[in-house]
Amino acid sequence: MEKKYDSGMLRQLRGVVKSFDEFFDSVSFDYIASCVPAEAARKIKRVVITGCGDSYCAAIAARPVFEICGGVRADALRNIEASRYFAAYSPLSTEEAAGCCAMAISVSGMPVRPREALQRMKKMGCITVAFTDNPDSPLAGSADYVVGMKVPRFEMGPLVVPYMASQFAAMMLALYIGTANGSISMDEAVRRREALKSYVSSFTGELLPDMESRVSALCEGWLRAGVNYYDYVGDGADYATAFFGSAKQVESTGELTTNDDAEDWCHINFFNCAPKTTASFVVANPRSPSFSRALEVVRTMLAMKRPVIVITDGDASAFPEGAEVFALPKAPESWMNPMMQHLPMDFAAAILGVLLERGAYRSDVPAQTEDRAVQKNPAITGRFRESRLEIAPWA
Amino acid sequence: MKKEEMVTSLVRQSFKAAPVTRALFESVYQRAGEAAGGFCSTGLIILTGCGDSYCAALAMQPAFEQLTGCRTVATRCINVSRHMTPDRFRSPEGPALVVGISCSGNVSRVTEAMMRAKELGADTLAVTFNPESPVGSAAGLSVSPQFPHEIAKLEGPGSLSYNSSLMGLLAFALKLGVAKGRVSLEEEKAVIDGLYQYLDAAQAAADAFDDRAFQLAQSWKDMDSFDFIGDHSDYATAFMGSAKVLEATGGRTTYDDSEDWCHINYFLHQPQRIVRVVIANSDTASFGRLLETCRTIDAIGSPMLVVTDADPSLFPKSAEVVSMPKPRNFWLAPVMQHLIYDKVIGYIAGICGTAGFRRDGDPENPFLNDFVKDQHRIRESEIRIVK
Repeated sequence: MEKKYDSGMLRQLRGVVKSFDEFFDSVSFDYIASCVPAEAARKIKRVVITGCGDSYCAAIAARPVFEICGGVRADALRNIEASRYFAAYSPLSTEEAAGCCAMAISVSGMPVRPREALQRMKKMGCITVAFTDNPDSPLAGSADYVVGMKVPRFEMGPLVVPYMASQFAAMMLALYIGTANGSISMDEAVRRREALKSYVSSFTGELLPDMESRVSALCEGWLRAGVNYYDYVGDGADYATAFFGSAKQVESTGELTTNDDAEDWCHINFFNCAPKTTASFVVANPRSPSFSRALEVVRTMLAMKRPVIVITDGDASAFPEGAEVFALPKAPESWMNPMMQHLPMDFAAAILGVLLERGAYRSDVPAQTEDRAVQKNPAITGRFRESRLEIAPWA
Repeated sequence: MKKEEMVTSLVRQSFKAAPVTRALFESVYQRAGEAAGGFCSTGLIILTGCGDSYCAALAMQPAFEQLTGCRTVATRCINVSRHMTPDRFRSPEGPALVVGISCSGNVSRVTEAMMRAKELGADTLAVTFNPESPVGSAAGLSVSPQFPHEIAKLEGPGSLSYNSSLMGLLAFALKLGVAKGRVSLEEEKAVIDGLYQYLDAAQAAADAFDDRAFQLAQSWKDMDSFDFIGDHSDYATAFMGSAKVLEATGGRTTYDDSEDWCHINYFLHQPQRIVRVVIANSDTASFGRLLETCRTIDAIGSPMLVVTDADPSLFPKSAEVVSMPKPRNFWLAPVMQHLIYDKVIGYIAGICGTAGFRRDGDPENPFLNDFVKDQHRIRESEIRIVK
């Protein structure tokens, strides 16, 4: 199928399955065992996982796997919450801290906030794990254990594969913890790992080219209609997908986005006064406990005449006419959905970036690239790598 | 253009926030004590609600932890009612207490959350005007702030119903803290005195800002969007601001915390056309980070409104800094700091002639008008109990 548009981000998206294969083998259970010894994994009774931006999305996506497969309670926190407010008022007992594992995700390992979270929680007595592709990074240096992610390199532009790699590494650690504490057998862990690979591999043949072609047509139509606002809805782990899609749109085009869960959408974003120019993505999987609510939201959006894109592993016939449904392969287990369901949103972000002729990350704005004062302004260039590290008190 | 002719419900409510909020607290405090007595052994509290009520949960979560000593989680209602696993409704001390917040008491999802929590063995409490409502009935026990008689029927959009939720939550948290022996009678009085002092001082500060709010509204009414930033309990204030933009004007808006803003919303196109509203209070642990984010906003040229209890000279000169009094307890800041952007947003709605809550409808879309009128989408959503 002829590719109508091209960009670094599009080339990355076309190769996601191949990219996944590249990092799949590198993060094996043997490798993870070399990073986090079994006796350390057995001590973990609770996980607090965090990151910034895409990494926070990966934390949200991976969180349920720690509970479903790892047998430990898990929470995904915004990085500022983890690094400045966690346990600020309710103390962790010595025993609780010893069983709590703080995990921070950052591919580069360079932003200050993730390592600040690990350093603070380490001082509290927690176990700390860093997920990073940079073993020499400050983040790696702040953790008891480092799980390297071996992320393929890409051209400069909004990144999608590192998000997948981050999710994958965290999910594999979750499975491994489950084997260490007896929640699941190693055979079960291997079976699930292979099932995830199989799920990713199902996005082959004409699936991605068809997706790109459909999304291209949608994007062209949206721009003709004056669409300039993008709304993303998802619940539970699917909220990670919604949030990630929203972030990619901002990075690629600088267009305004919002993201929310299906219930709160009805209380807040419903009141947007320009429904016809607000493209709305809804992640609605039949196995989700809130599928019925997501379906109600789709009906409401359509009645408001919003352009609606549904991403689902169910049948398109479950949704009202008028919704543009991307019925994707059904993962063996629903916790795997965030690994791939962001793709239609990513394609939209990439194609709109081409159509709008904007460089990603606002690079088309002359002030950003030519103004030497701006280039050297640490408030811009160092806004998350040179932020002041502070270890906030805890209870 | 006369300011007085541009006053909308958001602005109107901002003029009475202090006395009404005090009356709300006083209306509920004793009853909250009766409710609190039954939960002395609770070890885990889950606060939830939708929209403004979810913001209230976020705002009061630290107050609950500090006053009651209970681990307290503020979480989205869809999580409580559908996604949280059953074990999350318990703690080592026993069943969790799930507090469902809904002013009207008619929101299906909060009713569902109460029903599910009960089904899973948790204790339940509603913070609602109407204990006989579906939410109140499902919870079985309510804390019900009441508006003073003279403004019993509030028109919206507004923020005083949010304040009623905050006061219901605060009253219960304080009484529970007393019942558990965590809060002495002396401290109880100090918190309440501190609340009343803060209400009055913050009202005065907000009133003094009113003329300037109108000027800013005129300057900003044609800006592309409003972007709100806040951390921890002030994230609730940021979230509320974004919600008010949508409710009052239907306009374009987004929100985030001070760290994630640097990774995502920093990249929004044409920053000079985006008003950034930053809630930055000196007693919060991320104040330093908020200052850094303000410097970045200044560097990329966005107009900025800062709501703060800190020294204005700490912020970039380009920022419009509104000084609010520092409350005795930092978690009281969300009670009044929203008045600042309520006024700006409320005046924008007046200047632009928007009716709020999409009441002006859409002549091309009669279905929309029906949806807006009967609130079917939030009051008649199918209730399902997920075990």
